[in-house]
Amino acid sequence: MTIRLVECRKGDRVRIVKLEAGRSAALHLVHLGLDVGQTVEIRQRSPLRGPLLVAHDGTEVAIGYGLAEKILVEKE
Amino acid sequence: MRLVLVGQPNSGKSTIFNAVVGYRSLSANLPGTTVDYTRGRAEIDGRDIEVVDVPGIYSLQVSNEVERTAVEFLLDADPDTVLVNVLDASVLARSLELTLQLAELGRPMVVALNMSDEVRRKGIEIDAGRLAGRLGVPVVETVGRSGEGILELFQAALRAGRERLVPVVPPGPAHLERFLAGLAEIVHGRPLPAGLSPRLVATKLFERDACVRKRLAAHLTEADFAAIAARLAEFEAATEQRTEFVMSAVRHNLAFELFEAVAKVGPAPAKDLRLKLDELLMHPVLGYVFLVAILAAMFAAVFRFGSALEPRFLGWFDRFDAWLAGRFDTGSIGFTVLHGLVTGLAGGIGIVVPYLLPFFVVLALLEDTGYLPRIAFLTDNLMHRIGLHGLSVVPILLGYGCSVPAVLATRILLARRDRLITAALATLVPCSARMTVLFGLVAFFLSWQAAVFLYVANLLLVGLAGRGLSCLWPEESPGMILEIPPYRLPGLRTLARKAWFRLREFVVVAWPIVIAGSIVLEVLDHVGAAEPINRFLAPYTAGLLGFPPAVGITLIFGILRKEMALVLLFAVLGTTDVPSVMTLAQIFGYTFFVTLYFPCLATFAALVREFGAKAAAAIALVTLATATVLAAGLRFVVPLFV
Repeated sequence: MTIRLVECRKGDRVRIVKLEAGRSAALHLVHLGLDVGQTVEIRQRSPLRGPLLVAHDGTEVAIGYGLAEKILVEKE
Repeated sequence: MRLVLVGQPNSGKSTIFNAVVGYRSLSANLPGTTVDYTRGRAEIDGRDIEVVDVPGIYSLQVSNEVERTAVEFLLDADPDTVLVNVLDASVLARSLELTLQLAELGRPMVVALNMSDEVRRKGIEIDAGRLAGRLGVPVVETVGRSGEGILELFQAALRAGRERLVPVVPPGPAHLERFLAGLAEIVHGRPLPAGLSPRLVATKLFERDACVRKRLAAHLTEADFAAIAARLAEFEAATEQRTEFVMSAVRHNLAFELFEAVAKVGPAPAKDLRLKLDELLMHPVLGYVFLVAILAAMFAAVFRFGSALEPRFLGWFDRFDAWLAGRFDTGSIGFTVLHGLVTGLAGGIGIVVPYLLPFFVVLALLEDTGYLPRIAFLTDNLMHRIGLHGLSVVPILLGYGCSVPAVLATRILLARRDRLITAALATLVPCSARMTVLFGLVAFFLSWQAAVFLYVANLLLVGLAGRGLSCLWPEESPGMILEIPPYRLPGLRTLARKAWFRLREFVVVAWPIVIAGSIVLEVLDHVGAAEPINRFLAPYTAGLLGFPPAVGITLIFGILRKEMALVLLFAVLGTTDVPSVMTLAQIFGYTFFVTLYFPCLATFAALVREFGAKAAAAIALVTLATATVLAAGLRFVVPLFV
C-alpha cells in the first residue's frame, strides 16, 4: 500500500516509490541516497509539523514535513 | 600546480586543508560549514603548492547555489589542477558517486579515504589498493583529525599531477552508452571549449547541466541544440524517466558495484551508543528538555567565566589610567586621546577575553560534536512558523552571545533571503553586551521580573519580526533536507585553533572601532561638543521618547558598543543612583530602546561585509523604526504598571 512518508511511524522500514518534490529537492534527496527503490528507516519523528529523521545506508537525513508529504513510500 | 580539495559535505576537506596550510578554513561537524572557497599555500616535499578548499557538494548535478559555483570552478580550473577527492569512507558507497562524476572531468586526481578510523570502528574493511586499481589513480587512507596519511596524500597528489594520472570512467549500461555516443557524435568535430571532451559534453548534456550548456552556447549551432533536445525528449518518452535522474541512478549502481568490489562489511557492531544518545537528544519531548538544559548550561558557563574575569581586567586598566592621570596634564588634549585609547583597549580586552573566548570554545564544542544540526532538527517546526527553516536557529542562538559571529554564521544558509532575514532577527536578540544593560539597569533598579519580561517580549518581537519580514519577502521554502552527521569527539587541538581563529577575526574587525570611538568620545567631551549634540537630539530623545535630554549622546556612543550606553549613562547623569534622575518608566523605556535601536558598529560592519551597505542600512533603519515606535508606545503603557 502506497502512503506518504509523513504518515509513517517511528521504526517503520519503507521503500521509496516516488519523489513528487521539485527538481532541486528531488536531486538533493537522490544524492543523499534517498532514491526511488531504496529502503529507509524512520528513526525519529518530531511533534506537530516537525521534520522526520530517516536513515539509509549509514546516512541520517532530516526531512522537513512539507517535503516528506511529497515522498511516496511503501511499507515492507 | 594547484591542488583542489573536493568532496561531499562534512567529509573533512576543511580539516585536511587546515592540517596542511594552518587553520584558515572554518571546520565543523555540520554539513555545509564551508560555503566559500578558501585558498592557502603549503610546502610539500620542498615545493610551494597552492591548495584550494572547495565547498562540499553531494554531486556535480547542480541542485543549489553552492553546487553551481563548485561546478563552474571545476570546469574552469587550470589544466595543471589536481583534484584531491576527499571521501567520508564510512559512507563509501554514497561518496563514490561523486568520485565517478569527478572522474568524468578527465583531470589528474587522488582519492583520500578519510575518517578511516571511523571505518574500522564500523567493522568495514576497504581494500585501498584494489580501489586504486579500479580507478587508476592513487588512493590514500587518512584521518584528518589526527593528521594520519595526510602527507602521503599530498605526495600522491603531486605524483598524480606529474604523471598525469587521470581516473578511468567505468562504462554504464550498454543502451545508455550507445545513446551517449550518439550525443557525442553531434558535437564531434565542433571546436569544444578547453577541458571539455566529447564524452563529458555528452554526459552533461544528458544531465541537462546548465553550466556546460552555457559554455557550449558559442560552439554549437541552433540546429545542434535542437537535435540534442529532440534526442533527449525521445529518450524520456521511451523510458518515462527524466534523464538527470537516469544518470544519477546509473552512477548509484556503478558506485555500489565498486563499493562491493573493494569493501567487506563485517558483522555490524552492537547498537551504537551514539544512536541511543539520539533517542534522548532528538526525542519529541525529552529532546526539547535537553535542548533548553544544554543551552542554559552553556550560556551560564560563558557568563560565569566572563563575569569572573571582566572586573579583574578592567581593574588593571583603571589602575593604569590612574597612573597616566598622575603623569600627564589631565586637561590636555594629549591625555584626552590617551585616556580614550586606554578605555578602548580596556573595552576590547574586557569583552574579548572574558566573554568571547569561553563562548567560542562552547560554540566549537556545539559544532564539532555535531549537536548543532540536531538543534536545527528540533526547531525546524518553530522556524517554519516565522518563514524560515531549522538551520536559521543557529545564527539566532549565537546572537545571544554576540551579534557579530551571529551575522557571520548566516553563511550556513544558502538563500540570500534566508540569510538576510536571519541576520536581521539575530541582531534583534539581546547580545551579551545588551544583557549587561538589561541587568545593570532594569534588573537592578526595577526587578528581575522586569528583566525576564524584557527577554520574553524580545523573543515575541523576534517571532513577529520574522513573520513580518517573510510576509514582505515571501518565498516558498523548499523544506529542510539536512544530513545529520554522527556525533564525534572534538579534538582539543582543533577546538583551540578554531577559538583562536574566530577571536583573531574579532580582534581585527571590531577592536579598532571600539578604540577609535572611545577616543572620539573623549575628544568631543574635551572640546565641549557633547552639550550641543544633546540639544540637537532633544526633540527625538526627550520629545518623542521621553528620556532626559542628557542621555542623547549615550545613544550615539551606544552604537559603538552597547555597554557604552550603560557606562556613559552614569557619566552623563553624574550619579549611579539612576532612579533619582529618571523615572522607572524612563529606565525601562531606555533599556528597551538600547536593546533594539541599532546594531552596534561591529555588527553593522559585519552586515556590510556580508550583505553590502544597502542591506545593512535597511536592517539598521528597520530596527531603529521598530525601537522608536515601541519605546514611544511604552512611555504611555509602562506607567500603568510601575
